[in-house]
Amino acid sequence: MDGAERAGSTDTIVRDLLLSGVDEAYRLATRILHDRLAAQDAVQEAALRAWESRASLRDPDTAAAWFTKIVVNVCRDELRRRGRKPRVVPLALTTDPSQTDGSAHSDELSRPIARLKPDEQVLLGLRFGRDLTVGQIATYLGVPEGTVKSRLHSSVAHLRAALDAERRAPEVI
Amino acid sequence: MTDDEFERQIRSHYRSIDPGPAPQWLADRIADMLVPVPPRLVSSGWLRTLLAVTATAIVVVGLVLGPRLYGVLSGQQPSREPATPQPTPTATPRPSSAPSAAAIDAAGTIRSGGLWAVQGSTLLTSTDAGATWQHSPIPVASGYAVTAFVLDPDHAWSITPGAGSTPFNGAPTDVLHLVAHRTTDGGKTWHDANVPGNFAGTSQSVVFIDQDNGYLICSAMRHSSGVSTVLRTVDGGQIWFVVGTGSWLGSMFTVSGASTLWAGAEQEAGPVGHPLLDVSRDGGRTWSDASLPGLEGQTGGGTLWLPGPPAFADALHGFVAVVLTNPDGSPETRIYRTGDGGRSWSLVRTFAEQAVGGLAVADADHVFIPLTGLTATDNGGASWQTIATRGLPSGVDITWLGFVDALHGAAQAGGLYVSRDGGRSWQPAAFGLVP
Repeated sequence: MDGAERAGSTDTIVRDLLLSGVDEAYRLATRILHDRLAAQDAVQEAALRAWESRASLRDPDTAAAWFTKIVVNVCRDELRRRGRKPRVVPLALTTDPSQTDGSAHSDELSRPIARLKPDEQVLLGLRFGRDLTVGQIATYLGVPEGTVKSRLHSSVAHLRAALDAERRAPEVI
Repeated sequence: MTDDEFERQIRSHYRSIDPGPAPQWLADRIADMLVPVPPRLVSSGWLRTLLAVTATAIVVVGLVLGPRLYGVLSGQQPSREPATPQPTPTATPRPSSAPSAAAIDAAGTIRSGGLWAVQGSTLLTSTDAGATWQHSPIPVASGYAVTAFVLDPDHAWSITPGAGSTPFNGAPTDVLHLVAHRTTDGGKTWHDANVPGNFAGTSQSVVFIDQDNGYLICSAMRHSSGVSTVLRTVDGGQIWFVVGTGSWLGSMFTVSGASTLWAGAEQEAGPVGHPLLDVSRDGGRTWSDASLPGLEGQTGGGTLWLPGPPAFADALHGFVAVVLTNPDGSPETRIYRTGDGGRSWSLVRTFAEQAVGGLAVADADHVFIPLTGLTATDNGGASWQTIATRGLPSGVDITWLGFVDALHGAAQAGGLYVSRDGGRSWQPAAFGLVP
């Protein structure tokens, strides 16, 4: 396959990926950002970045992981932007009872999660929001599996501490 | 709760977040992007939004080139000539073993020389530059950004959604009523006042000049009508009234005098045309472009924005940082200075990186900005030096910076850290609460 054929093949692969992967990307971004509207912006931005950098996709078999990585990076950028002026959110998310264990405590994690560092929020979103394995997360983040394991452990610990602090803080309203 | 139980709770939380399929307009937008077409205006959805901004922005839209989804490029190329030639700064490595600080939701400086922070529903104030902290409750709304201002250890205000407000959907039917909470006894008691109006689709910033006079801006965000509203109180927050409106006035808000207000563009994911920096000299009634050299009339959001509001040492001397993504993709931060209350600005420094947090002004000579780690001037911007810092966590951006004088300051880098030596060394703020 010559260069032109390869480029055309990559265009087709990336085009098909972006068209078919919107829903999954949107779901992932929403679970990381806890904000439907911010997730919509993030998916647009990620699709744009993916299309503009499609020449960098060397192995078509890794296209899905390549795009997921871009989505994750865009979400991380958004979380860092929020650090300057946090907008907590998720006021309009749908709750599907069949997706939960019925616990009344699942919603109380929104604020503690929002207070974690961006990388921690991304990590939790990938692990618990998308049920990815440590190996898959390591691929998306470009770090060793051991690093993912230790960061995951500390992220969960930080979340637990933040939740405990939240529960202990007196409510004025 | 065991570790397994907690992980189940986390998993349950994430599974409860099910937004459904992506909206059709998103899929259509991406499909449009993938079809090679000649240069054209952006699609109607964006055009409706852009029609609500200034005429300058509309002219800018006509200059879009290429099949770029967010390709709103300015016809005016900003000048890239720095005021004085500077050596390329080098990154300052931070130790990776710095003790972690307590996470906070908001922070600020107190004009009398103190610091404040909000952690959950607790207000923390320090009158000794972070050495010790006093705790008091503060009204905040779960799931809503903290909007607070602390004037001194006794007087503070908090803005929260009020009764009748609906969840934010970016829809015309959204409702956002606001309640202004105030304390005059350091948080022992709080009193509420309704802010008249529906401010759906806006973010709020509140600033007080003294214990009676304050301003509240409700800044239009992406999914709103585009009208930003400025309200005022003259009785410490008991009664609020609208003084003026402005198209897409940004949320980087501050006050430099009794009637001089500033509203700058925050960063956006796409082309929302906030005026880059507007000023009002009549208490918010009318607004005009601040005329930063090389950026006159510019709108901000996607590739041009303020990482923080302008910061003033007094009514005359102030600084503002502007972040740019140049057409070739290169990053830039410019720092401007004024010595006449903002009637004129001069470019004093350009950095080839983008500041994540805004600058901190300790006085007319001492200014700090989170670039290359931490950079500062001690001569009003004539020259800048990178500070070799110790104690801040590595790989974490400084998203907020505040200095009460040339030596004592605080930084939000994940958690809150304090310095007593001009930013050279940092320690986690010892709130006395569990992080």
